[in-house]
Amino acid sequence: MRKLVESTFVTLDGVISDPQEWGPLYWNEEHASYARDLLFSADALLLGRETYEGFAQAWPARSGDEYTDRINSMPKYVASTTLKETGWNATLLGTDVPGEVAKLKEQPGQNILKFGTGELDRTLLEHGLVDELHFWVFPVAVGGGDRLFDGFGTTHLNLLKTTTFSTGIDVHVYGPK
Amino acid sequence: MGKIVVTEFVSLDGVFEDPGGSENYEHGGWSFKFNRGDDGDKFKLDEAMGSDALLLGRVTYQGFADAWPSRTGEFADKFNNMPKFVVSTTIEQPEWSNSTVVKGNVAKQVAELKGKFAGDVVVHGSGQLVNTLKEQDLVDEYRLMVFPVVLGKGKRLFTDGGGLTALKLAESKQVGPDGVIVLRYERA
Repeated sequence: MRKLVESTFVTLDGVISDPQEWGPLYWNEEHASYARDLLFSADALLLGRETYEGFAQAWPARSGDEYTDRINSMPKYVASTTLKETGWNATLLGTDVPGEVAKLKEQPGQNILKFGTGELDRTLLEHGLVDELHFWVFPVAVGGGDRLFDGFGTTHLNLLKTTTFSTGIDVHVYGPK
Repeated sequence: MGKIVVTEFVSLDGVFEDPGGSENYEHGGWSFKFNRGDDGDKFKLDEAMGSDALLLGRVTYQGFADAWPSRTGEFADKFNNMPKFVVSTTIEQPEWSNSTVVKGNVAKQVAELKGKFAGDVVVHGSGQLVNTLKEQDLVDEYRLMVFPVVLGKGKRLFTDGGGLTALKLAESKQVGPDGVIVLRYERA
């Protein structure tokens, strides 16, 4: 069965919003290589509405490297109760998001990659649909913003592995407990 | 010149409240549900033995002052004997041995503590104080013991404010069998 793998940037103070403002300073080849491995072990993206809207604005204008070409061409699935239509090779999921994600996971293929951890993940975790959560912990506190796991109930996770980059990003990978 | 070291138990959602269970928080004592192993115990013992003094906010101080005086052993003896500074506008007569109340200009007095001690002045818990120290750029090192649980409720260590603080990751290691991570950050 395909795995659902999530990749989320987070600051030391738990902020996940606006990573473009605090993240780029720490990007290097290690970062790119890890991100590439995640992307190339997946053949579909699952996105919440906010992440979808951000990505669909930024990525289509870019091209010319294998990462960009892959992210632009791969099929995307978007969970949203408000969006009416999508572009960027994206399909809206129906109202039974956990059921649809479960079906996607049963289809043959590589992993499904989800960028960002938000409201949707409460449901996905409750339904046991998330296989790996990769949290990229950046060595910076930003003083405010949307916080990781905001609105979640008590949830136990299982640490699978950690990877330390020379820039001080520490990637913590958790699975369900 | 001493160092201000902030050491904390935190959940995956950044909650640091009452890991030891002395403050009537719903999940009080949550850190004890995980086995941090010999490495985790050694990390905390080395930290205690390497402390020149404790610097605490009122809530944490009162929890500690209730718990530690009746305990003995290497760790407890060190905690009970070393100098303690409690930042509070309400405590007049601190009852825990060797305690001093810090009132007034906290930033200035903490800066003076760094001159007074050669080694680590260690802050445990004390969320409000930590945010003040962070905003005043007085923290030299953070040590975070990260537990693999989202608590979902409770006070978060870092509150809004203080702007951007870039740090340097000095150490990351897993301790014990339950997926507890120790992260150490120094000034960038």
